[in-house]
Amino acid sequence: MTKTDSILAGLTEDELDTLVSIAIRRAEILDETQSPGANDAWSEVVVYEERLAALTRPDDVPGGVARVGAVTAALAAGRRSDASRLASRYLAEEAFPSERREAIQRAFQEDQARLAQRFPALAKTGRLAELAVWRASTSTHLHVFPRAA
Amino acid sequence: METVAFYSYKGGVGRTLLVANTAQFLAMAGRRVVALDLDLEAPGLHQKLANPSALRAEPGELRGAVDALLEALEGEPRKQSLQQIAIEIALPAGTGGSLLLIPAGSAPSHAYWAALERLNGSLRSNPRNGGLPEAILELQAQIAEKFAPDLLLIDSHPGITELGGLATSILADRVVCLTTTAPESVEGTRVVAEALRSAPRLSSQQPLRIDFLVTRVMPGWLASNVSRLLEDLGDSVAVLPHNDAANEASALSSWAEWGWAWEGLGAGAELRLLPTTLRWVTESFPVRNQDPD
Repeated sequence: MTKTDSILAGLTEDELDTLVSIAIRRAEILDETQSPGANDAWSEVVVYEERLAALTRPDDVPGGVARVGAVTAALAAGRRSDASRLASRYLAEEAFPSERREAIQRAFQEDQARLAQRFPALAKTGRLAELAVWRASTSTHLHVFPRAA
Repeated sequence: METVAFYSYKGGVGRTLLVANTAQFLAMAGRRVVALDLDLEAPGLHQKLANPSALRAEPGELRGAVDALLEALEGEPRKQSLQQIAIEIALPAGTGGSLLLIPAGSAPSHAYWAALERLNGSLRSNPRNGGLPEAILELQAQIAEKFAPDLLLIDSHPGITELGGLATSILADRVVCLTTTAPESVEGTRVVAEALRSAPRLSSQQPLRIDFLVTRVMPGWLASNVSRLLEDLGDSVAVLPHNDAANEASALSSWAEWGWAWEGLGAGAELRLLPTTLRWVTESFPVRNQDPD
């Protein structure tokens, strides 16, 4: 267990709710000001949301919100491998409601659309979507170039 | 478009010169070639390919891959199109092919290092806008779209770097790995090749082809031992000898370092190639027959 994990394990759901609300607001403000710290702020949101997801049922409202929140925050932080990993985990839960599944899929679609606007020639080749799959595979692969993904 | 990345674990193996000479040879043989310098920390392909007087004309103003990557990542309007960045390399009259160079940028200059630092900063600070994989594949897609070349030859960064990893994995259809017979070079090449063989590919890509070149082999050296160490890890291994006579010429012109030389650049130029190098190039890159008869 990492130090972060052990600290999070000692927090209640209410405490995590408070922390995640503050973290989201902070990340939004940093986003609005285009601060380089926004990525770290969204990463902090991922930590709380992921822990909340672990404490809650997928078919509860808080559980659904936390799962969608973890994935969207990971995308907002630019951590697409983590977003894919989390999405795979949550989508594998049978009790996860369809509207939450759609919200996760929508988040990925919006991310892809944003990238397609920035990388139009690549988008035309169809390889943007392939990159998402590639990233997910490199996260579990002992690559000699670990930073490449 | 076939993308071939030239890679070496160590520097000083003749990689950049081989890219330059392969590009020129294939263009002269009728193929449409784009040479891309992705050795961003120590670029040199423009020195090997472009006319030195043209490079000197506007110091610090030469634009290249760093600028294109930066603009893609930062979403800035392009100051210059890729067509304006690419430098057309003059070939002898009657040559059927074409050769375009996309340099790394205006290196060595303060403007270049500043742009490179900005690129690194942009990658660290805003991953949401996409990372180096997107940016580098965008550049490759633009090259295919704008120039429709037969071949994209990449001078890749040596050693273990993020960009080198991308150039040799998801960017490349084929990797030419150069090594000398030095143990550290061979061992590093083996480790990288093993990793490349098992590295994930994009789903639309074919398995990566890996060709080894053992270079700068002096007469009497047992290059066959090195070949045996590499042959199981790739699709081919070739040994290229060091050429003393050519080296003498390289003191005057770096063109001759590999034993290839222009005689009167751009004016009925003729390539002189070491037979083994010529054989390797022609076998590795089959040239179309230009003569219908």
